[in-house]
Amino acid sequence: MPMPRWTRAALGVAFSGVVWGQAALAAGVIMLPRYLVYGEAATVGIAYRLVAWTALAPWTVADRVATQATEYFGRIGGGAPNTLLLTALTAPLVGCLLVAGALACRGRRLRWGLWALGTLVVVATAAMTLQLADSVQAEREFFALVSQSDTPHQSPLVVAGAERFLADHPYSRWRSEAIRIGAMAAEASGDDADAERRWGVFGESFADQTVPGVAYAEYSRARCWERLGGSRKAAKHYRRAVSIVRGRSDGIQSWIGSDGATALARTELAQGRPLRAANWMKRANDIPAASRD
Amino acid sequence: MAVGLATVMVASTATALVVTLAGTSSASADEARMRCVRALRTKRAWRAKYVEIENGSDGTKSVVRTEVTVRQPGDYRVVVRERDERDREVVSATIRSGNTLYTRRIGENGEPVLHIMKGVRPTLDVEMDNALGETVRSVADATSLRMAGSERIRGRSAHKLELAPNRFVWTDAQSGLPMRESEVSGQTVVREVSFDSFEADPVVSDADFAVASLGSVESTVVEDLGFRPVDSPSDAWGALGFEPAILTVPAGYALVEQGYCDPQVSAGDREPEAAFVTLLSDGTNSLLITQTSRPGLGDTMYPIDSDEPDAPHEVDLGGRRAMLYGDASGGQLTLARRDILISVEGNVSSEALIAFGNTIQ
Repeated sequence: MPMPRWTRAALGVAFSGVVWGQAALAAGVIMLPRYLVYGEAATVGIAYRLVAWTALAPWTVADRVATQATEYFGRIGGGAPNTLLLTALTAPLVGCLLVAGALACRGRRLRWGLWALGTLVVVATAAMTLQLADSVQAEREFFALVSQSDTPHQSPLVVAGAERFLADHPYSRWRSEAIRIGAMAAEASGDDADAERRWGVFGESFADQTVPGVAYAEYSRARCWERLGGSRKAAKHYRRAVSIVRGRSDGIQSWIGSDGATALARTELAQGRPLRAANWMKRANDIPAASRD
Repeated sequence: MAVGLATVMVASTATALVVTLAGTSSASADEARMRCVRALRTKRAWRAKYVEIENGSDGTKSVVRTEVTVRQPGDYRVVVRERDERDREVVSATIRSGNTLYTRRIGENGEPVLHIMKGVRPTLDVEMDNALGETVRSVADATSLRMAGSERIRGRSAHKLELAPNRFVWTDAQSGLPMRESEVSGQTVVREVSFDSFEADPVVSDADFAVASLGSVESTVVEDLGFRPVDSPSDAWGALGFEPAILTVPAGYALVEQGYCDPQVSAGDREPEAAFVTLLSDGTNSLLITQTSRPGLGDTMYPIDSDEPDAPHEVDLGGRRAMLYGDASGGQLTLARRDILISVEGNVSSEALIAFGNTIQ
């Protein structure tokens, strides 16, 4: 079998293919969370982080040096759309370079390999860009929707818009916020059973990202159950909310812990357990007050 | 071919093993849960000592040592020892007798104060009014309980149960009683409770349960939580503003207590609410029925639409909708009758709750 001819041009193209290929992978890794339901990125867990670290390490270090950013991988899971678009721009370049390299390459196998890889990168990037455009579009739509009212859940127009948003963009990262509007609107209308169900869906959209999403959902569900008369079930959700935020000080909404403990004190007292009630009240007072979001 | 066949067999065996082990783990976790729930309920009198340690996110640490003595259901004595900001030991002691609580604690100026809390509602499992009881309740209602292994604690074999990803309880493999509880956040243990000793049927003297045993005090504070025992429901009509449903005491059960929560009295941060409370017991199991006025509710409960395994579900009571929720330690049935929301809570089976619900007219 004849060896491929590693001419200087072929080597150059192969090298740039490796470098730019990694850039494309990095772009993909950065963009991946955008296409997941908010919170699912955490589910991918170790495998995802491993890929992210491997692919992004050189770029993040360079980025940190260049921008003096204080956080590594700050844009994973969030990411400003403009940064993502800039990063995504590298991917078509990779494809074009690979294709150009294929044209310059004399080795048959290498040429076909470069053709195939280049075409794949270009097509994949095009598909991802389209999805990214949809994601950005969804974000714009959502912001336009909620900007119509200071209290979105009290505006029938916004509430209806949130329902439509959920149908149109089921995978947007703003899905949970749209669900929240519906849940708050149901609660405001007195339909606690429907509100409880919606808060449950809200919590599910955070998967295993418990703080603050799941904790907030648990607290809200408990509030609904308390009004529905299911005090036993309410106490269970309050306990879960308090347990989730207990000991967490990394910028989470500590009012969930405080209000949850107060609510538990209330339910315990109503159930004739004053010592437990006093215990929860003490805990509520120990938690520093924090702003609500 | 042979290699392929062997691979398939190994894979099948491994899959079967994983499925079997997963099933075993779930079954043994449920078994440990039931044992834990029963362990405390089957003891009428007991004494337990435990230590709670909490590590605050700001580096603070609190250590609270508690001794609970239950003489009989409804009567308990709790002594709590902790340290104040100046590292002095502060002791507070509480005696509950029926609907009244007597607590001697050290006031802000260092003086001993007697805090009398009267009008406390009757409750199910009054002996659960402590951290041990709360741990048992947490085990009972954990949605995704998982057996996380076995360990030895203080020389005894213990099951490690995972209540949630950040929360574990170790139960004695023989008695089922909690031995330890731990909550973690990241790498930090934020709360840990060590249930150091448990003694069934301890020797208790009447003197230990006398209010005088709490010691001398300089002042007394009285708080009224608003529960008023009555002989007959009709005695409460005037104060309640509604006529509670007349209940039929099931066979084998006896009326322990009934009364109303005075709507003129607020308890804690709860808005004053008129409620009629009835406690029934057959000696082992209890039913707590709470009736509150809900104008506009009529005879129909709210529809429940949830496919969660632990969500309350609808049950049919003679053509009327009721809401039933159950966990390992009991359940709650909620129904509506003539603008009254009726909650039937009990440490009994769902069938028993439904049977009782069917008797409510």
